[in-house]
Amino acid sequence: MTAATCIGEPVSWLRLERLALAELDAPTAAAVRAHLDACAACAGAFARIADDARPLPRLPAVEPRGAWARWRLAIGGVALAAGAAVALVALRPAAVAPPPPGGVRVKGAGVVVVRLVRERDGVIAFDPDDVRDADRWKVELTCAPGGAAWVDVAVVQGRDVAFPLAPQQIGCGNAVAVPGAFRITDGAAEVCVALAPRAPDREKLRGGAREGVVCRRLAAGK
Amino acid sequence: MAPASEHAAAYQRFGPALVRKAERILRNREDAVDVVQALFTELIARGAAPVDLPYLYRAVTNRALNVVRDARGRARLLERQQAALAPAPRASGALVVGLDLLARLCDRLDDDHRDVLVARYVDELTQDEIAALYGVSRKTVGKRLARVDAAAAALAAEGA
Repeated sequence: MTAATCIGEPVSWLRLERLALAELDAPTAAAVRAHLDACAACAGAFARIADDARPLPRLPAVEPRGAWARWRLAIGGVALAAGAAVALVALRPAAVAPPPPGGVRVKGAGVVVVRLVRERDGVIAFDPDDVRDADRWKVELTCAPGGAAWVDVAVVQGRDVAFPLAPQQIGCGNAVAVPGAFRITDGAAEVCVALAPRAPDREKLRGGAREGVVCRRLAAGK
Repeated sequence: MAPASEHAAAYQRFGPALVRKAERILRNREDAVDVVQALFTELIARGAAPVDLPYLYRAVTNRALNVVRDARGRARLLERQQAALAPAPRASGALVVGLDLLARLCDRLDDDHRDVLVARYVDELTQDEIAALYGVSRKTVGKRLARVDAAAAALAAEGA
């Protein structure tokens, strides 16, 4: 732990990281090095960076995304950059863009866009079209920061409806992962994500209600 | 569309710095790695052009704060937090932003102020650096910091 106090204005972690990556221009790098020579606190911080040899896990392979999912990602990008502007964009899409079929409006959250995430043999896919028994699934939501929505996930296979995750309230943000992952066995299924200002009614979901629900059909994978 | 190999190279180059940055917010390595990997898989899937470290710093702040703001994520973080990942502030008299204080301040501040809070008291950026990073004036940064400090003081007073 860095215990000492800086002799002046501490060199930021970002600047120290950029020094370690040799990204600073020569005069700036020289100035930072001069400060480090005189300041034990900042030298200690830089040593934490330089001495960090912990390996980084390999990045999972990612499948390319389809046009529809890219549209939704565009909304996510807006959320990242402009927060509340998401709701406006989703409610008033550009003339060339279709309305977001993966989005529903929820009181207290505005438009919430749902994305299914599948991990198959270490490969991540967003909104894929098929399912295998060994796949691992997660759900991500994008909505304007500051809002919140309850979410429940139903897996529909014929007349069977299963709820793999507990209903939970999620704070809005960009691609917020709903805690928990699940598997879908026995072939084709429809994954339905119910969104509501309070805990969704499971009996209505079992009965086939689809208001405030985003569903995605998954074919049996080969 | 940028090839995935460029992002893989950026992950190798910037990943360790970004994980360290996320660790300072989340106080555990596992969640920090998750945040950084999710960011890169998103960038690869979007085919976005390769990005620089300051851009990625902002993106990691955004994603890490999403975890802190989520009630379940917050409880898990408090359970998992590792003191070793929390360097003491180097500036004399600086606000010490532990995970609990960060979480409580997140409930009271909007995104702009949360960003400034993390930039100033977690990443220890200067006001000029924050202004450049977020594309706002130094005066705006100063105002936002004053609001952050007032919120922290109010929390301290409530706890006293």
